[in-house]
Amino acid sequence: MFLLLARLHKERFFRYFEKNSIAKIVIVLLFLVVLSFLALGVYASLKMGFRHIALDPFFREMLIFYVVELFLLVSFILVLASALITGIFSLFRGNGEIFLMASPEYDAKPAFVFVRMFFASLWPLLVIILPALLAIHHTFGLGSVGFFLSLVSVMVLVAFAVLSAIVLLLGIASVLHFLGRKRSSPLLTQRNLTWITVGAFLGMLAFVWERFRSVNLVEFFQARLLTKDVPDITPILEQFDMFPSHLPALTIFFSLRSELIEAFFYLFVLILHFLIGWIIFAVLRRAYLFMWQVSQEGVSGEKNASSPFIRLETAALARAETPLRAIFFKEYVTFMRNPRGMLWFGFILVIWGIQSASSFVLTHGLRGEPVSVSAFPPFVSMLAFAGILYFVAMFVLRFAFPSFSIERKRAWVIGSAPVDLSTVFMSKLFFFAQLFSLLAIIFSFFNASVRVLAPIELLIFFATVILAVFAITTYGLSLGAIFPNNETDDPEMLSTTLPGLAFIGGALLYSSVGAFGLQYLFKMDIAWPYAIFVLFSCLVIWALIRTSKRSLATREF
Amino acid sequence: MLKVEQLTKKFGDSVAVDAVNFTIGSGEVFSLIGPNSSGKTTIIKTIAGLLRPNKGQVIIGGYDIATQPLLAKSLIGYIPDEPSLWSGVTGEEFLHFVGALYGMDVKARTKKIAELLPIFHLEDIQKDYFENYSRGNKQKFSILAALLHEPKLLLVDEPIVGLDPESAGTARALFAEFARNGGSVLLVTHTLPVAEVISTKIGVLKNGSLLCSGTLEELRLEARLKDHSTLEDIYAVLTS
Repeated sequence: MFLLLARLHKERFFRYFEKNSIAKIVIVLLFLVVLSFLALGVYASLKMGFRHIALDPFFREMLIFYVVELFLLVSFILVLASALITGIFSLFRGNGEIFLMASPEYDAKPAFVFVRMFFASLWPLLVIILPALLAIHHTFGLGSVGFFLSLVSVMVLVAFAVLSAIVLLLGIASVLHFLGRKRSSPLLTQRNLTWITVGAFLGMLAFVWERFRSVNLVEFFQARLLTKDVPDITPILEQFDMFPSHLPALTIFFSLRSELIEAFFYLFVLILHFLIGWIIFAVLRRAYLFMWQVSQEGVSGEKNASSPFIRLETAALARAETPLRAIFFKEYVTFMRNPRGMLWFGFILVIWGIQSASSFVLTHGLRGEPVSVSAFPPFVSMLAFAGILYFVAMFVLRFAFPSFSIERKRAWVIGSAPVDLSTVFMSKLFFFAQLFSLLAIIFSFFNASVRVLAPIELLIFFATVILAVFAITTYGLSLGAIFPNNETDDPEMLSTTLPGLAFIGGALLYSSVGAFGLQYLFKMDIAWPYAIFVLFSCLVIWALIRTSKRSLATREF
Repeated sequence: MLKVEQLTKKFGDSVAVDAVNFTIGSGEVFSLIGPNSSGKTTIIKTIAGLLRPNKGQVIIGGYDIATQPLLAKSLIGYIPDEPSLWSGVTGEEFLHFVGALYGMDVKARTKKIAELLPIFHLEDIQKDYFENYSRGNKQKFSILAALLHEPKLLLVDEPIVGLDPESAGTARALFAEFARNGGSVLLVTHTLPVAEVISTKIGVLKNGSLLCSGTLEELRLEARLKDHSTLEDIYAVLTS
């Protein structure tokens, strides 16, 4: 069965290149070029950072261990979150393998979902992990066996994260099914499964946050301890020992010390964890077909359009007096009621939250130290600005950019109505720009705790963020409107097309230019780079809106 | 109400519709029939303003769909063959949305929606999401949405597919009544008995060209068939 499915996927891969082959080969090559640059960037920047760490004999070992622990923990959380989102839909709602569920080999589906999610999670991580391990290898002399053990341990960690997600989902589904078996309406519904999974994940995040929230970094790293040659690593062991990512971190740590037996031991313990997880998975899988069937019934049984919140949304649409308002509220309603989209929205928010939380930990952990915030506000402002725009770009890529292509099948509703398509563009732009600006402002306030900026500087910072968010949203929406995709309406696929890559490249470049403009203004009082950035943003917004309107005027559906 | 002149539509090098001419007056139901890929849906989509003609003109109520699309579209109600809709939107919300797109004020469309829902007995499911509707119920909502703003021309692509027999009968009666009240209907269908019963004129398409059009009697003459021959017999002769 696995061979057959693998063959089907192989054929699907080659079929992808049958139409517009040259354009698609260019896309794949560009994608590889982008990944190579990313890997090179990771390698170069980590090597530079590791060299600085290596120069300090006191902090050297502890700091690198801490970096590895933190990196693996964040990676584990991200892979787990991503696998939970994909798993909810692939395990219980995906129609793609309906033939498999109708066959006697139905119980292969969860394993197939595991394999697919494992590879999907592994390759982006490898683009970062491989260069990171190489940087460690070249800076700290990680031997080849140690390098191999470290790489394998990270791959097992990814597999364990994906397996944990599937086991968690199957476990929740089993409990819901068990508790609801005597009720007239089933408890196992997509909604219940989603809410409980989200709750479990947020609970796990709260647990992680609790362990980091009150850390005093100066005490943690024993920076004032002058009696020892190297600090004690016990605080790190105590802080991370509850997390699965601790085991591969120990493998890397002992590989660095060339203590390979210990390194192998911790890899073995990790593999043992994975095998125990697989046994639980095998037990839960027995009831999979039944759970799948019940969850299909649950989909049509879910009637939640009568909740007060939904009634407010209905009222907003029912009271819309102009096409612009009607399309705006339609965007809002379809955005809010798209469970997959909302989960991805939450996922990007979680990553953004982790970034902001690390700023918080840094500020509070270094509180009172002379090396703290007063030394680098312009630099931190620049980083915060680039970070905020990076996350906004992620949101735009996932939601605004595909919004014209995903409506291809439903375009007849607006296309046949007496509505100028520029109204559609402006409604979408207002909706997404408002939403992303709101998020950017909230996170700017959160990040503001790191910076010590004068009120006027803060004002300039916020105004620039809003202008840049509007520019990036216009850019993403325009690219999606000018280059609609007729082959897929899957937002995740659309994000990896050539216009999607062009968007992300352009958005990152634009963010960097803006960040440097701000730094020049705040650090050296040089205003002209900032003025050019503002002027350029306004021009881009105007030109893109104009071009999009022209393109939409000749659009066919 | 509708004048189609030398309408030509190409997709790349392939000609989907080739210099098609026909007119529909007030009170007429014109059915376009023909084999798969004969250009029926392309014609109706071009009239609805979803595709742009390469050559020719489509005049709706005196307005050219290419040069005065907003005025022309305000006179149309379009019912597609595949009623794809937003899964997270309720039937009630969809009708309000369409009403707002056509510039209906809130009071008028609320009243009209209340009048239309009982036609297909949709009152009880109007607050449910489209993802929970059957294909037939989605089709019923798209029919109501097309009638909501009281159009002058109804464009109907495969009206009966997915509807149960009772609802199919209701839809047929609805289109006939719409024409009796002075409206014009363009019907694209493979269901020949429906076209035979409600059409005042029928056009037969093949390979993008209109082979012939006229009343059932005129088509019988064209096909050289006897008086009792059905539209299926005529179709078989004309398209063979």
